[in-house]
Amino acid sequence: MTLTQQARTARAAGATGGRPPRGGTGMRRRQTLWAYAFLSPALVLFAVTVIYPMIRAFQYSLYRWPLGSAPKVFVGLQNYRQLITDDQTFHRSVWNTLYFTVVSVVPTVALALAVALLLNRPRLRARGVFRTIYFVPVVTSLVAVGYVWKALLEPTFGIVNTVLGWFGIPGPGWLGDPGWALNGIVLMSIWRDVGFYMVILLAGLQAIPREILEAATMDGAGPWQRFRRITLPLLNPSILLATVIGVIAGLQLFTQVYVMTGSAQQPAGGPLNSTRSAVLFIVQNAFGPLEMGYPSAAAFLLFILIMLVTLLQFRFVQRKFEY
Amino acid sequence: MFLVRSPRRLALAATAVACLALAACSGGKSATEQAPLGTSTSSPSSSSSASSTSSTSSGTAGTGSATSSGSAGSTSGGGGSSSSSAGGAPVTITHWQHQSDAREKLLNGFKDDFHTKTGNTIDFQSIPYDSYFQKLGAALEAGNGPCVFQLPANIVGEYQARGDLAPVPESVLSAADIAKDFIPASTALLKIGGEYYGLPTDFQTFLLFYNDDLFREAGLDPTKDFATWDEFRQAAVKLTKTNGDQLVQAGIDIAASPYQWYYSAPTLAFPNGLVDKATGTVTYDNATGDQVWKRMTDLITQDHVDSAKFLTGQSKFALGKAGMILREYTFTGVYKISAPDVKYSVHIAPPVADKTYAPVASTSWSYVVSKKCATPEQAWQWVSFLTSEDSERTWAAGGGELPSRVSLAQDPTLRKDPNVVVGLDSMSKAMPYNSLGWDDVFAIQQQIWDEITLGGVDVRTAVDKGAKGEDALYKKKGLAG
Repeated sequence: MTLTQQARTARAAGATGGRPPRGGTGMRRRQTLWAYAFLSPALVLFAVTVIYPMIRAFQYSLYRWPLGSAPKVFVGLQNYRQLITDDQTFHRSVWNTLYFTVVSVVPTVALALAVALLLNRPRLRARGVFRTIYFVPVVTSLVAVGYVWKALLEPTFGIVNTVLGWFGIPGPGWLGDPGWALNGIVLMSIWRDVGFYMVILLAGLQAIPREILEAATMDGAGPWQRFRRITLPLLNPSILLATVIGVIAGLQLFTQVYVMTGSAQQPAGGPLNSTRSAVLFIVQNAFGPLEMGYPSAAAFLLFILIMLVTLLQFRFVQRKFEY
Repeated sequence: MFLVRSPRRLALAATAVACLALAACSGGKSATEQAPLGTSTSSPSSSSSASSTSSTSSGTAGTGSATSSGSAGSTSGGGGSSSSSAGGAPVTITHWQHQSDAREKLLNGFKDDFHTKTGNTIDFQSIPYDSYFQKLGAALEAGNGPCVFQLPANIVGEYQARGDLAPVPESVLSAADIAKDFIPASTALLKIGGEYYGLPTDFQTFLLFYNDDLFREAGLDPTKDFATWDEFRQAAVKLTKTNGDQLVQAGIDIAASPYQWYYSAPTLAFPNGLVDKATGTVTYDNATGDQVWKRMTDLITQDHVDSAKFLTGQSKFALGKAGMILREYTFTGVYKISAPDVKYSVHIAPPVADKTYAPVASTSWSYVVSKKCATPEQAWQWVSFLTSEDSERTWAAGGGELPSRVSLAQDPTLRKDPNVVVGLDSMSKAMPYNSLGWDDVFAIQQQIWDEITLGGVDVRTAVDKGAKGEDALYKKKGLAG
């Protein structure tokens, strides 16, 4: 039987609701096997570097698991119970993480959208230069950026407070003040990430068909209405992507806090736990006392949190629009 | 039937069962196979004799059992990370320590000398401090850790209790010789159950640095030590300068994280130091502890001689913006490089508590040998070489640390700089900061400081909370009681 005959037979079988002939199934199976064969290197790598460590981490989370030769003691769900009910530092670190995520992602995406809209104007000159300027912080080392911002936010002689002083505004203590330290980190993160989301949103803007906007203009829609009724809905997938990436990155906050609040003289996460993030909590609880069980449980709770937040985003932010 | 009808649920349940089975079996197995806490699987003499006659390790779980192949000088991959061949053939000993340019340079010289002297090779790795414990912990867990490594003296007990350390064999250095030859403060935390589990390095006392110019400017005499806490406090106030509400010069650089103060003051206020060795509980959760913490934090909350908002994250003393700072002895050398314009002198700090049991507190690190090291005898010989009188003289001259050998305290070749002399004279009077943790305890004590100075929490509440946290940590580590 030729391939064309097989296809005809298969279509006929489909039309009558019968099962496709065995020959077609065999071919499909062979194709599936080949697909798996081609996928296998990636799948094996994924299994070895992601799935297996996750299973081991889950195993650790049920134990008191000191590194080295000490005995590992099965404690069941005790680590989870302690984290959820007793550990105020963990609660604070989760709160800090959520606060950072909300307070940094929303303005970053909004600012990135504003910049993208400006850069999307066809009559703007030197557009490439502006794009590069906005994108430079993204490709700069986060550690280097952290150190620079630490100096900028220095309360007595730092540039930020000096400029605020010119306008008669007494600058806060920033990283030395528990009430302001996390906001200082938020400020730095917004400055750094705007360029990244700007690129995503600019790509989204350029994918919007010009005809739709022109049709709306001819129908009498003003700039705000075009933005509100056409641009924003059609940009929704890009906004969703930027938000999901931003939220996941926000929930994994670590480097900024580590660089900007820690030193040989001071443990990161201070002052008074005001900047301790969930990931920092996990690292400090793992490699301070060299104990894997408790921080593994915290890592799993963070994993669940990220999963839930991402699902909620997909549920509430994603909208389908067609024109 | 519920599961069978839903393949997704079936898969999920199967995964969960697999995870639980893995958790229950694998960990349980290791738990039952391990020796109980603090129980040695081989006696010091047996590990010593094993290494002297053959390279078969006395370590556990196969790692470190680098059976001799007779190929001299080859490095094994497992456990002890060293191999040897029978009959005293050369071996390779892996050595890890945290990064310090000065120490790395000196150690490279020592390893060449050691190779020339013994034929043994040192595979030396200098690891950045930030990742040192991560790498060490993971390597010890995986059974491919180094033979020799560096630990703060405070956590030698913890690692010994985990079963990770081999004691110093009598054949290399007897306990009596260690007690006689080394400054007591440098070895106090290394002796466990009558045996030494490390030899000291990086011995530091906490000393008070004056900015001599700022002292003179404030009408103070920079050649005199403060006799009392009040005298010191008044000087700190005199040294403080403000411009309106804003601090422009700190009397003492103390606001951000003055661990040198809260390591020293509570340690010196109690005859047993910060932690009672017998019970493994903290000593400072009482009126004396409160007095010490109140006096230290009053400098910020009452006297305003420094502020967390003044030059945050900067070394105010090195910038010439603070009159005093309490720091480790090594800064006598560090400030020569980082603050060449600051003219400073070094002094013994005044007692903080009404009654103190020593004039200065100290910290030290130690060189230890892994229990899984295939050649512990040779490893200890290397450590002994590193801590010998000649080597310590070199460390002291070039590495910015105090020697821990008694004989070097009066060595005229080291006593040329008056600031160094203060350090050398402080050694024999020192009392070790004896917490049973390192970064984890640092975080707890810093929390006490922050709660009082930044959070407005009263001293009793903050000290009690911190003390309970520290006790709970020791209990969790199995070090209390």
